[in-house]
Amino acid sequence: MTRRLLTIRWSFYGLATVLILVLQSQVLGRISIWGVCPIVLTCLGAVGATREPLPHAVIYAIVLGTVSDTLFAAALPCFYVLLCVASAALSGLVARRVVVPGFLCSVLCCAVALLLSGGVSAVVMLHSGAPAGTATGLLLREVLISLPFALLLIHPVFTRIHRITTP
Amino acid sequence: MKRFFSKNGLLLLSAAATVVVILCVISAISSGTPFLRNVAGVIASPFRAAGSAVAGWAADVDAHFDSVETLQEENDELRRYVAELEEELRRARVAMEENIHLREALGLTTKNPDYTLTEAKVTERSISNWFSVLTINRGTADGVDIGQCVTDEYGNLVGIITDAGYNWSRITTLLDTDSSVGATVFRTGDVAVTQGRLELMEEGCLALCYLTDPDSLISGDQVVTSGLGGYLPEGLVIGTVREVRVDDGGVNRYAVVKAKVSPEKLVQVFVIRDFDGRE
Repeated sequence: MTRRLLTIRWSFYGLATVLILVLQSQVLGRISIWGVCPIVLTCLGAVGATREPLPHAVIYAIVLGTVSDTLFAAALPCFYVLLCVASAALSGLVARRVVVPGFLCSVLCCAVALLLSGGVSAVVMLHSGAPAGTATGLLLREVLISLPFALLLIHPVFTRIHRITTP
Repeated sequence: MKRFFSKNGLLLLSAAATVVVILCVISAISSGTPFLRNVAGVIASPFRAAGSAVAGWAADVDAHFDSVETLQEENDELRRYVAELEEELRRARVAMEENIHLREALGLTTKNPDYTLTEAKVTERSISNWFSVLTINRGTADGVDIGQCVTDEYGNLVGIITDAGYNWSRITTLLDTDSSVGATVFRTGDVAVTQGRLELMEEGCLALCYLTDPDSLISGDQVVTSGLGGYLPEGLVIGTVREVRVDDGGVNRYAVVKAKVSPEKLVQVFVIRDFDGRE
C-alpha cells in the first residue's frame, strides 16, 4: 500500500471519527432508551482494529482516547485512552485469531469494547459503594442499547472506507 | 420592352422628374392638404393602421415580458422580505424565551440581591450512563470557577462547577455519585447531607443521609441547601422527600429525595459566582 493511499485512508477514518464524536456528543448523548444513552466511543477503536494493522490501530486508539478524555468527563483519569487501546488490542486479536473481519467480527469486538468500558465504570462505582445489582444491570443495559448504534454507525462507514482505499 | 426602355428610358426618366418637380412645386405653393398628399394618405392609411396594430402588439408583448420580469423581480424581493421576516420572527421567539428565563432569574436576584449571577447555556450532557455531568458555555473568562454552584431560573440547585475552562465549565449535578451537599429539611429544620447514588440516579433522585430523626419526615417535605460552611448559599431548593429507606447494611436510614431539577431537560442555567457569606 502506498503512503498516499494510507494517508487518504486515515484521513477518511479521522473525518468519520470526528462526525461520530459530534453525533455522540450532540445526538446520542440526548437519547435515553431503557434509562441509558447509547455510548459508542470505545467501539470506534475496536472496529478500526479489526481491519487495520495493529500498530496503526493502536496509534488511532491513543489519539481517539486522548481526544475523548480531553472533551468528555470520565470515571478515571486517562479512562478513554486506556480503554480505547485495550479495545483495539483485543479486537485486533479477535480479528486475527477468532473471527474473520466482517459484521460478526465487529459485533464481537464492539461487545468486548462496551463490556470493557462499562465494566471499568461498574468497578469504579462498586468501589464507591454502589450496589452490585444496580451496577450490573446498568452495564448490561448499556451494552445492549449501545451495540446496535455502534454497529449501525461505525461498521458500515469503516468497512466502506477500508474498501474504497484498498488498491 | 427592354428595347423600348433602352431607347426611351432617359426620356421617361426626364419626364418623371419633371412631373415630380411640378407636383412638389404645386404642393409647396398650395394651401391646406394637397390633393396628391391626401390621395397618398388615403392609400397609405390601411397600411399605417396595420403597421400601427403590429407595432402596438409588439409593444404589448414587450410590455408583457417587461411586466413578467418586473413581477418576477418583485416576487423575488417579496420572497427575500418574507425570509427576512421569518428570520426576525425566529430570533424574536428565541429572545422571547430567553426573556422569560431572564425574568425568572430577575426574580431570583430580586429575592436574593446579594447573588452575582452569570447566565449560561447547557452545551452538552454527560457522555456516560455512570455519572451526571453537564457542560455549559461559560468559563473562567466570565468569572466562572470551580466550586461555584449552579441553579435554574427558579433558584433550584442544579449542581456544582467541578471543572472550569476558558469558555466552558463542567457541572457535576446533584444526582452524580460524587455529589455531596449540606441540606436542611425546610419544615423540621433538620440538617443532613444529600448524596448522589447510582441506584437513584435513573429515577432523578438522591439520598438524604445523616438524618437525626428520619421518622419526623413526611412525603413532600422540601429539602433546601443549609448554607453551612459558606460553600453554598442558603435556601436553594434541592427537592422533595419521597420516602425513607434503610441502607444495605440495615442500620442507617436515609430519605429518598426527588430532585427538583431534571438535568436532561435543562437548557439554560445560572452560575452563582458570589453571595453574602461566601467563604
